[in-house]
Parts: sequence; structure tokens; C-alpha cells
Amino acid sequence: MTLSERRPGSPVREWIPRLRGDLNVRQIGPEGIGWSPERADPVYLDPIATRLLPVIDGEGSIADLVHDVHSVLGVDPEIAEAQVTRVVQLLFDGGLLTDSAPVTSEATEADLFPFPPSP
Amino acid sequence: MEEIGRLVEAAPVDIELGGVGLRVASDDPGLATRLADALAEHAVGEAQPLGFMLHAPEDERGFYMVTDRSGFVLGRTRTLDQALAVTGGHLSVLVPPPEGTLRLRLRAVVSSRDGSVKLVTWPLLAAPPAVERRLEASRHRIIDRVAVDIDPLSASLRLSPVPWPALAHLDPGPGHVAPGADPRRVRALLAVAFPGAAEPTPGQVAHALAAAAIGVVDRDRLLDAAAEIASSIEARLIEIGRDNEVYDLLERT
Repeated sequence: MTLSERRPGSPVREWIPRLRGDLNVRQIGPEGIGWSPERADPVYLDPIATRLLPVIDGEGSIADLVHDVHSVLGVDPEIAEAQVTRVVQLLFDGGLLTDSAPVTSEATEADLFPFPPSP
Repeated sequence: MEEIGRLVEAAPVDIELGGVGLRVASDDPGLATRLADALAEHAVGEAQPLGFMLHAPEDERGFYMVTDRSGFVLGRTRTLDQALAVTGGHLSVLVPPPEGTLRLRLRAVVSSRDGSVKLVTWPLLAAPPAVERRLEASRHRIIDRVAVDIDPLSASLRLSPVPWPALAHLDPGPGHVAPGADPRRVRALLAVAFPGAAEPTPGQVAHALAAAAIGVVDRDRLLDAAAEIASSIEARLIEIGRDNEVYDLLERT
């Protein structure tokens, strides 16, 4: 599900992404891993996503974040928008945002077999 | 499905250990009897979810086959004792992991040269299944455990040995090795990737390890452990569709 599908009728740029307050996050050099308590799988955060994570303060819209990235890092606006949107989509898909898509499968932490999951 | 149904009906061995119930189904009454005797202390009367299947050879030159619940081949052996040894190794995953270790749903191979371990992500050595003679030729053996336990501080494998005397003393045969108590240093992680993919970074390795963890209680501790292990092992990629290159890679490392 894309961000625009999740919020029909509302421009993506106006959306204010908010990180969940109960995430497990670990930085490993320039990269990171984020993990929502509602998801079975952690999310790999590439260096750009890791750098953006602390910038997502729950107050700025995607347009604000794009502006920050452009003005602070000097990144071309079009590239900044593409990267911010990509990262927010990644966080959204991984359940790291407060209004991420609902969980579609239960956590299966007791599984011993890779496929299909243990009963 | 029809064959699975027939197997389950033929000779089920239902056990419960460590809070997990499993059925081992066999189409060979001799195998089933030996296994039931070895695991008698864990036998339960109720049907349990299918865990493993044992197949007898179809003819004199055929192999015994041990498969997981999905039909992925875990071992092909020449003798009944070897099939029982492979099964015993896999069933030992029901023993709780040693204190302080991380349990990962990964396969592992041991070098016959230096005893070091390479972790292997699915579907490598599963689909297509490991070929025992090629493992032997690459001077490696696959540990008969569907999941492995790692001490994150030393990046060493720490596996509880097979606890059932009637199975523990059996030799699993060429290409296989039973889980053992001796710590073994983990040296690398082998994974599949799309053609042209860059070598994995420590963050990607840590993510792969964290995603493979099972029975996680403390995710903060898990992420620390995954990062710790990732910092001390190398990662090697094999292109999708070129799975057989895993043997060449093992031979070179």
C-alpha cells in the first residue's frame, strides 16, 4: 500500500509522519535497524533512512522534511522529495509509524521451520 | 498431500519437549519403532503438528530420506542408523537453547579443515537440497539442526548435544555432523542475492541475523547481539539461481 492509497484525498506532501514511541532502534555505523513491537520482522534502515529517522519529529510534514533536507544538506529538491517519500514509505510499511498499515500476519517467533511457518 | 496423509497414518511418533509438540511420520515401521523407543520419555498420546518425515529407500540402491514438514530434504543417508542420527540432531532443537545464546533459524556447516562454522540462509542447501558428496568434496559437513544457537559475545556456535543416548551415539554419515557441545567459531554468513548485488554491509548482516531469530524475549538485547555478531563475521553472496556455487564458495573459504 502506498502512502497516497493509505490517505486518499490527502496530498502526500501534507502528511505528518510520526514515529511510534515504543520502537526498538539500533544504529550500526551509518545504517540502522528499526523494529515495531507489532511486527515479527525488523526493518533494515539504509544510511539515508537512518539519517532521516531523528529528523522525523512528529511535527513536520513530508514537505517540511523535504525542505530541511534540501536546505541543510544541499540536496536537490527533487532528489530530496524522492528520498524522503521513499524513507517514509519504508517506515510506514515496516510498522514504524503511528498510523502504519495494520499488521496482516501474526508474529511467529516460535517457528522452527522456514516455510511454511510452524502451526 | 495424499502421500503425506498416508505417511502420517502409517507410523506417527508424537512427542512433546520444551513446550513444543511435534510428530515424526515414517513410512518404515522399523524406523518408527526405533525412534519411538529412543524418545519414549517424551511420547504423548495426542496427535501433534507434523515436524519431520522419514522415508525408507524405494529400492536396494536408494536412500533413506529425512525431510521437514514442508518436504524439504534435510538428509539422504545409506543406512537406517544414519537416518535416525540425522533425525535425532534435528529433534534436539526442541531442547531449550543454552543460557545467553541467540537462537537463529539458519543452517550451519562446519569446516573439516579448521572446525569453523558458516551460517547459511534459506534456501541455500535446502532448495535444491544439500548434496552430501559435494559437501564432503568441499570439506564441509552440515550440522543436523534446523536452527542454531550462538553466543553473541564470542560469535561461537553453542549447541546442546543430542540428549537421547540411543540416537546420540549414531553416526549421521557423509556430509552430516551431529550438533555438539564444543563451541565453534562462526566465520561467515552465506546468503542468496540478486545478480549484481553489492557485498552485504554489517547493518544488513545484523538485520538478517535479527530477522532469523526465534523465541525472542528481549528485542533490544537481540539487536545488540546481532550487531555484535555481524561485526565479527564476513558475509558472502551467491546469486539467485546459481545455488550450486555454494559448494565452490565453501571450498574457497
